[in-house]
Amino acid sequence: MDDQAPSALRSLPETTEYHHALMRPHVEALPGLAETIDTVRRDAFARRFEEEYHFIVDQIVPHIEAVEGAIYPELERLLANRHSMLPMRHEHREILRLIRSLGDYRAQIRSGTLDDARSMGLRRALYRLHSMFRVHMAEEEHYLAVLEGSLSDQEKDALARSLDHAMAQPI
Amino acid sequence: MLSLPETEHQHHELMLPHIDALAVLAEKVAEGSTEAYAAQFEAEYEFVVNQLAPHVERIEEAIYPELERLMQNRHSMAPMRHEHRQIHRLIGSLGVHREPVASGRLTAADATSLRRILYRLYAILRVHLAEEEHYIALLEGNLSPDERSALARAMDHAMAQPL
Repeated sequence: MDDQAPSALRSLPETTEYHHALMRPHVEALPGLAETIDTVRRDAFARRFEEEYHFIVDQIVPHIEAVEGAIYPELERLLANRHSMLPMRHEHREILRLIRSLGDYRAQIRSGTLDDARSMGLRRALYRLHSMFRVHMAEEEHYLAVLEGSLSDQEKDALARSLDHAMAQPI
Repeated sequence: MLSLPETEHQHHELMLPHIDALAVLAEKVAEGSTEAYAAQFEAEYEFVVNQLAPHVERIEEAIYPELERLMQNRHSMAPMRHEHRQIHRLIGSLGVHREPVASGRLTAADATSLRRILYRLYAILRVHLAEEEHYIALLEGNLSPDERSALARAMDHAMAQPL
């Protein structure tokens, strides 16, 4: 299938896999970014940080909100009382907290006033975010496969569209 | 003879390939049957239990009290001790998955949990070791040569098998 095909032409798991595949290079860039905090020129690091920060805020955050708003309630409805999405919602809260902490470091990165202690804090946030994304996205794909077999075609299309529309700019 | 920061850095350099292997292992857990990674899991588990855990304990016993003494009330090593507790807890969780991995009875939910543990351990260790080296550089300028040598020896002796 064409990578650029609109969501209506893709199944729900395909839509999510497609989004996750676009996110993955950015997620994989986070440890490398952490390792360059004090090993490359300050302006070069600031530029790379800004690129990844914008991707996270403009693309990943809306995706998280759309998944939690549209997909998790459907999963909980289907799984009735046998399974709660609470741990996954909890991970979303933790991811959003880490993203906010990245935002807190931004001004210091731009002004070149990131001291040793803050550099360590930033490294910790970047590695933690990477480790959470890697597992969380894979687990989400497992859950979406559950939905695929349990919803009508119309319901699946509606969910796939809601995910696509979540992005501030289509990824 | 190596200085204290050099001793610590050398240990960390020897640990880093194993730490990076945890993330690689996590991906193998996602991709294949347990047969494909059981031997590597066992090798890395042995490493974290026999090499890493004693190192963590020795650092906490020998180095952190010296750092707290030097920094008096201005800085506590409590956050680093807290991370040590997390590291030990994660190592304990790895142990829970050992038998299911060895016997090939790891469920999909177990595999997700194991991946989460491996990535979490990788993320904590990558940052924790670097931070420890920063702290140890502080000791270098503030202890007598005898004190520094004693600490460096204590670190070397911490390993169940020399790294």
